[in-house]
Amino acid sequence: MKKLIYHLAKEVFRVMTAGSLIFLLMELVKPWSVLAYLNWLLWLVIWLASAIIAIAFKPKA
Amino acid sequence: MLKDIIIIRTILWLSLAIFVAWLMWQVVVPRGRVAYLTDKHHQSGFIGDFEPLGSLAKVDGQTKIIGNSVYFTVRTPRPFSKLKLTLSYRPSDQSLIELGLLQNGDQENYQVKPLYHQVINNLYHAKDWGVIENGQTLFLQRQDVYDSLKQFLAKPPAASEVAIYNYKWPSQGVKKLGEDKILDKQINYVVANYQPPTILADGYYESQVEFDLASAKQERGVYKLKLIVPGLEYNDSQLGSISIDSIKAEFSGKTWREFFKL
Repeated sequence: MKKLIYHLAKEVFRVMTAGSLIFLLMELVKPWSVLAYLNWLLWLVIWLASAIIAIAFKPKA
Repeated sequence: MLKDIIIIRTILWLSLAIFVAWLMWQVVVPRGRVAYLTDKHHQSGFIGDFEPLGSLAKVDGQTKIIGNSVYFTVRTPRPFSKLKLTLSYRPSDQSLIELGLLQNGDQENYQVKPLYHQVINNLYHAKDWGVIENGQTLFLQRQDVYDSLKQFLAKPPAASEVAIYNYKWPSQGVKKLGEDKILDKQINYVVANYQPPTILADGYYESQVEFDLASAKQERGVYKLKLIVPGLEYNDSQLGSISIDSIKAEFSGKTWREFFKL
């Protein structure tokens, strides 16, 4: 179970990191194209939470 | 375990792809029409807040306009040709409310359109004056003398009997209605390029204005608008204020087919 949570959090973090880069690029090309729709604070909280969970549940070698 | 991870991975990446595609759709607006709404429940990122803060006041938790001109912006994700604005508002005792869109040029030049004219509204809704609507033009007469606006323009009465608002009259001498709260007794005819607002509940009105964006000034898709309320002064009895309930901005322009001439 712990391993599954770790993998889930890791995948969420990866996808959200990629998403953040895509959104940043979109915002640079077209301001407000993402910010008008995305709750960036919620996004940031979930992103950081996924990173913390992934670190906390990382299986010991 | 490995199967679960693959499923989770697929779902997450697919969700991101769908969200990015949806965002792209919102930017491109392929159908050529888009609407943004700001009201008490929802603030659109495409409609800016009123400025300056000195012309606004918080009364009973609601933001009210207390200055005679306030500004706000509307933003577009891509170029459009027309902007239709629908405002829902509650005036206290104002005689005139107008909305202007900043035009191209060095000076602050606004294309001004009427939202609310108290005298004309009263005549229009009181039903004791004859009302003839001719497209965007409103023709009011104290007694039913003329059958149409065309007939009136072909054989007009003395200029002293005519009052106009937002209308080009070919000769001098007619009364131009502005902030007047009472209509002069000698006026028997009113001609105005004006659509009276719809009356809503609780003293609210809803007005619609349409602007052509071809000559409007824009900076990176941002248009500046000015709400003009001549003579508005706030006092403690809250008489001099306007509550804005909602603003809806509808942009229309070329569809993707027209854009690529398919």
